[in-house]
This record gives sequence, C-alpha cells and structure tokens, in this order.
Amino acid sequence: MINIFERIQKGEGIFFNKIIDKRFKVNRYAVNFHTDFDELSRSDYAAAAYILSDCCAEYPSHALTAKRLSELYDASISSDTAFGTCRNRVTAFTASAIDNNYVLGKENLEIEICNLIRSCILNPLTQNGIFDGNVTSLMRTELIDTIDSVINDKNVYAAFKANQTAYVGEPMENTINGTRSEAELVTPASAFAAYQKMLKTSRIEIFAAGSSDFAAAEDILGSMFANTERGNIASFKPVPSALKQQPVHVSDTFPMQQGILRMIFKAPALEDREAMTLLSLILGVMTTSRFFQNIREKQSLCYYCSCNISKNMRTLTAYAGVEPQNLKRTEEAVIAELENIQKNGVTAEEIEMARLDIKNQTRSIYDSAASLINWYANQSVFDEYISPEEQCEALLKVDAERIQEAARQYKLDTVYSLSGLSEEVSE
Amino acid sequence: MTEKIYSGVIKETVLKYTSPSGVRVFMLPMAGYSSAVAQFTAKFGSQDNSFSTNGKDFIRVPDGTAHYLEHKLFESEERDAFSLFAQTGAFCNAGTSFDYTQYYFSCTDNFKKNLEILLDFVQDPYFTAENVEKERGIIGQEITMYRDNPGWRVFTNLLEGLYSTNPVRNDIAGTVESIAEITEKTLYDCYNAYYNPSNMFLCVAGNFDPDEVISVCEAHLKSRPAFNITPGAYSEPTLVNRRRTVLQMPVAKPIFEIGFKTPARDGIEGVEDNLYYGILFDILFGSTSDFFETARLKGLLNEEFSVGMFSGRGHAFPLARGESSDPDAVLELIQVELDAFKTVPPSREEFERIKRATYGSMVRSYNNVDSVAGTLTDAALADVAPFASIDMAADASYEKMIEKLTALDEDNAAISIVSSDIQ
Repeated sequence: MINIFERIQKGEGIFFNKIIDKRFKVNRYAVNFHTDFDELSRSDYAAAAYILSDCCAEYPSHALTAKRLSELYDASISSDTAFGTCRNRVTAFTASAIDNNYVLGKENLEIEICNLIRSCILNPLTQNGIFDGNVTSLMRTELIDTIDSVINDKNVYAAFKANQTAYVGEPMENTINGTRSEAELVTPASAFAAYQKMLKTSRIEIFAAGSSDFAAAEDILGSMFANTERGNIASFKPVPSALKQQPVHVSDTFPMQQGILRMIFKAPALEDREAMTLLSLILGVMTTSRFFQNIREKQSLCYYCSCNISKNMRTLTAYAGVEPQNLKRTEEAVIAELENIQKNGVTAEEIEMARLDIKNQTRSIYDSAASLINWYANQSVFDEYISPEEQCEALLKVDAERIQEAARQYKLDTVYSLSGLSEEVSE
Repeated sequence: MTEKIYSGVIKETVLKYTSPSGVRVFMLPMAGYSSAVAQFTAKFGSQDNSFSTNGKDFIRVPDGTAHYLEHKLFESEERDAFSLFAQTGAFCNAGTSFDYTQYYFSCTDNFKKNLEILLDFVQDPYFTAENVEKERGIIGQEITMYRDNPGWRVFTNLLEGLYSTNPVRNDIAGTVESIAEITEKTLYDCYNAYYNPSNMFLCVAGNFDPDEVISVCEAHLKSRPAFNITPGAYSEPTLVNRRRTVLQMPVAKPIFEIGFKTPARDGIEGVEDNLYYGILFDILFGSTSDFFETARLKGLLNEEFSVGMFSGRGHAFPLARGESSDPDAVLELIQVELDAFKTVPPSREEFERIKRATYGSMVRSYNNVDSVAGTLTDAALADVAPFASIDMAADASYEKMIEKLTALDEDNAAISIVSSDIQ
C-alpha cells in the first residue's frame, strides 16, 4: 500500500500521527482526547465538546465560525464524545478541508483549518475565566435535545435500554452524554473545569491524513499543547464486561409497530480476538451468514438479523427487527444458530467466504483517509500499531477449531425486547 | 468507441462507452485505489407505476412493485446473487428510489468476475409464484420498519403534501395492502418494459481496467429490441396538495420538513435548478445565515436544522428540515424572509462565499470510490455530462441565483410535522 503512517511524540502523552497518501483530494484532521470515564461529570465533558466546536474567541458565534468554514471551501469542524475501546471517554475534534490543489484561488487551506482547530480547542470564548454563559446555556439546551432524542430512533432507543441491563454497574450502563437531569446541572464553571481536566490529563492523539505532506499541520497542531500544563496522564487497558450468573430478560413496550430484539452474549475469558471476528462474520454479519440465511431467508422471521462484537468488552450482540408475535421464536432461533456452531463448528466454505470478506474490507480501509484515521486511532491507546494488512494476515490464520472454541465461550447475558403498537392521527 | 470527457476543474477524466446492447457505460479509473465499485442502474423506480409499452394498453401496477422486483432479482434458479458474490469476497447490495433501481458491488479482488455476476443476475429474472410469495412477508416487515421511522414518515408526508397526483407521493416500498397484489406477472411486465438496455446504464469507479469492463459488457450484456415506454400521464397542479400534515409518533421534540413546490425540469436545466436553489437556500437559511443564528438563539431551532434541494425525474423542491417546538413558526419566518429577500437580495459577497463552499462540497464527492460512482450515476440519471454539476458550480453566477429567488413562490409551500402531541 502506498500510504505512509508516521507517529511522533510531541510531549507527555501527546502524539502527532500522519498518514500521507497523494490520492486523496480532501485532508482530514483529528485531535482526540482520551480521558478516564468519570460518571459524575460526563455531561460536563459532553457540553465542553459542544461549546468548543461551536465558536471560539476569534470567531465568537456559531454563525461566524460557520462563515469562516464556508470561506474555506466547505471545510468542517465537529466534535463528538464517545466511549473508547477501553470504555474510557474519547472527546474527538475532527476537521476536514479540500486539498490546496483544488482551491479556485491561492489559499492555503491546511494552515487555515489547522489554525481554526487550534483556536477552537485552546482559545474558547470565555467570561471571567470560565466558558461564556450564553454559549453554555445554548449548548446545554442542545445537549439535552440530543439526550432526549434517543426516542426518535427506536433502534438507538432499544440499544440504550438493553445496555442498561447488559452493562449494569459499568460505564456503558448509561450514555456517554449523561442523563437529562445531569445535563440540566451543567454550568459554565463545571463545563470549564471538565475542559481543563481534559487538557491536563488526557492522552492526546493528533491525526492528519490526506495528500499533503502535513508540515504545516505538524507545526500548528503538533505544538499546540506546548504551553499546556500536563500531569496524571490517563492510561488504559481493556476491561471485559462481566457475565451475569443467569441471563436476564427484559421486555418493554413502545408506540411502534415492529418489534426489536437485542441479545447480548459475553465471553469475559475469551482472548482470541481474531476468532471473535470470524465468528461474528459467519454467524450474523455477512449476507451468507447463519442469521441472514436461516432466520431471515428460510424462516422469514425478520427483515434484518445481524450481530456485532466488541473485542475489548468481549461481547457479541445479536439484533433483529421482528414482528412482535415472532420475538420469542427469533430469540430461540438466534440461540439455536450459536449452539449449532458450538456443537458442530463451521464449514470450510463459510471460513473461505469470511476470509474473502476480510480481505475486501481490509484493502478498502486504504481508500479512505477517515477509515485510516479510525484504524490507527482505535489502536492508539495501546501503543501497539499494526497495519490493516497485518491484521488481515492474523485473521486469515484463524481456523475452524478456533472459531468453534470462541463460540463455546459465549454465554447469554441479556435478552431485551421492545414491542408495541402505534396510533396515528393526521390532519 | 470510447469517448473521453475531461474536467479541468476537478482534473479527472471519465470514459464513456455505449455497448452494442445499448447500455451506456461511464468509467472513472482512480489510480492507486484498492477498491472498485460498479453500479448497474435501471431508470425504473417506485413512481413508474403506470405505463404502456410499444403502444399497447396502459398497465397500472401496485405501489411498491419496483422495490419488490429489486428484492426478487437477486434470486435465480440455482443460487442467489449474494452467495455468488460471497465466493468472490465482494460486497453487493441494491436500492430502489423514486425514479431508479440500482444494483451494485464493491470489491478489491476479482473485479472481472464480480462484474460478470452483476450483469448476469440483473439480466436473468427468475420470478415464480412461490418465490414471489416467499418475499411478501420480508418486504412487509421492511415496510413496517420504515413506518416506525419518524424521519422517513415526516419526509413521505411532505411528498404527499406537495403533490396531488405525481406518483412520487407514494411510498417507495408501497403498503402491506398494495404489495399483496404483486404477482410474478407484475414483475415480468415491469422487468420487460424497464430493464431494457436502452433504459439502463453502468457506472464504474476505482481500481479497474476500462478495457476489461468493455470486454465484459460486450460478452455479457444482452441485446434486446428497444421498448418504447410511455409513462402514464398525470396532471399535477401547480399548487401544493395539502399545506400542513401532522402525524403523531413518539419523538423528543417535533420534527418537521418544509418544501417549496417548484416546476421540475430535466437535463442541464434541472442541474441548474439544483445548484442555484441549493446556493440560495444555503445563503438565506443555512448554518451561516442570520436567520439560523437568530432562530437558534431564540430556541426555535437547533443544530439539527438543515436546508437543501430534493429532486428527481418529475419532482424538485427546495426544503428545510429540523426539530422545533414550533415548526409552524419556522415556516412563517422562512416565508417572511423569502419575501424580504426579494426586495433586498443577498449580497454578491455572500453568494461568492457559498458558491465556494458548494464547489468545495462537490470536490469532496470525488474523494472516494463510492461517491465517485454515485456522482457518475447522478449525472447519467439526469442525462447530463459527468462533470456538469461541478463545472457549473465553479462558474456559478449571482444573476442566475437571483432569477431563482424571483421565481420562487414562498406561499406555495407544504409543511410536514411529526410530533408526540397533536397541535
């Protein structure tokens, strides 16, 4: 592959990563703050991210920031707070701009967008040493809107509710943004305190990917924390999710027509991450998977039935959109498919199809700057770097025995079902 | 014969070729990329529910037929297409829109074999009473899934509000009742009419050899007598069908979509409408506008608000969508602003800034294989040159945007609202 990954330490717990690939017409940037998960201040961290990407002292309103971005040929800056691979908090600032080769004038977009990222993160709009009150108030309202909007998408809602049972007592029991009542308590001072702690204690991973040589990005972003006080830098290790002694079943109703089933299986002792991947592909991810072929196509139980895994939490989540009367049958069918692999293993043809799928997905990563940043960002807290191709080679070595053994270690932890009927009124 | 079409703006070349079968092929090789995408498209969508072929009597097919056909085309007498693609490692899927149906794959290996599979299965329908019946339950569940989606419902209700007779007002997948009437004969009637090479095109982007595409097309695309398709006529009034639609569903805050009914134009004129209405609405109501800033500070709108243009064969309208505790007030404010801007138009400076942003967003669409293939498909659907949109954006004129502003009737609008409470 032609792209080059280079990683340079820029300070205590601060790393600048660049991926140079001349094919891309758009350059992407990310500044990721990895912090410990702190349940009590999660809404403060979330609000701080909203505030920082909304405006800054240099462009002191959302409209002025947005105007600056449109002057930079529809450049973008956004922030997001999410769980990291170790159930830590990742506050990510991502930005992108077209490469200088494609501007209509003589602008240097790399310098301009990197300066804007730096301004947003290090030079926020403040009043009396804390975040501006009006901006905080507005962002608190938008944070509450985001928290409330979980009911707008029933799949998101079902996942949220299922997590409350599956991960009770763990960070993922609730959303990374906190609850509505927590968000209502956010103040300019509390959000600013979270922001300062984030600057001081985070592991900071900076990425630039695209066709530039990123000399300007390294100069601006790589040195941006040189004068920031740093200490007690967070470090992380994966924590598997605890398996319940007995599976828990939870059923909810919601005003809707189709039901949703989510089943969480856990294997806390399973360390064979590659075997997990192949198992999930064969069980539910591919269109030739057991779930798709047997549960959807042969039994016509649902429109979709799939699964995903968390390698670090060592969980496998099966999910399906089901007619309410078929929820129980689908639950039984999912268990039967996993049990079948536990008892009888997988076929050589299934492994071959999974390997082909893996090769296809691996090489596709190289065709997107965003995918490349995600690839390396997901590994960054472990200080171990493997390329997509190296990961592919490891996956291709997985055999039937390893897949069957992985399947045997998964035990049912939680079954969550959501069903109900809606009433509609039009005028 | 292959024609080369170059854009000095984006510095790319598209190869255009028409196969002996009549299928048009558009190719954009992307040096150094690992993956390739091929999209095989029939200009047959959910709105094509009434037609006559070669002067025969008109046929009215049930709503949802195009989508049903898409599902069934993956099946053959021996093996389904999914399993064939699984043997090559490719990802494949399909999608039905209002005015087209598309089958596609992406792959990093075995491109030639994958293209053969794609062309073969799309040209090899296998519909039986039994397999058509088997799909009914799955599609019924898909329809139910979309009916539970507030975002989809608010959009389809907007289409119903805007249009009285235009078949774009019907849901793409139809209803559980309408698909109950679909038979294998329905599917064959539509397939024979619309999946004709003269009504289809293939777009390929990424890592592939154009000569290989041409040789596969020549070997696998079947020639068929051209069908003369006459779409069923409908008379769509100029004015919107229903100004306000409200649906009760569980949402945190009311969500809304507002559309301004405009005449739908074909070809390069349609591209022009998309570009200039897009720029106009971005200037007046986008994230950089005074309108948005004021409404956001008042708590009337939040970051979910966006504006854009929705268009296809026979339909086109600028729209605004978002969340608000008072969507009707948003509509009223937009109408007042549009009226005011007709007197005091936006500045040239504003136009130049948004023009530049619009151009930048189009450059982005040439940044990865999937979106390049999609851009080629969009141009082919509109029957314009592959780079028509970006070339026009780089050279957009203020005066043309003002023409659009003058022509827009701000009162000819419909609003669709989904709310937990009926207001």
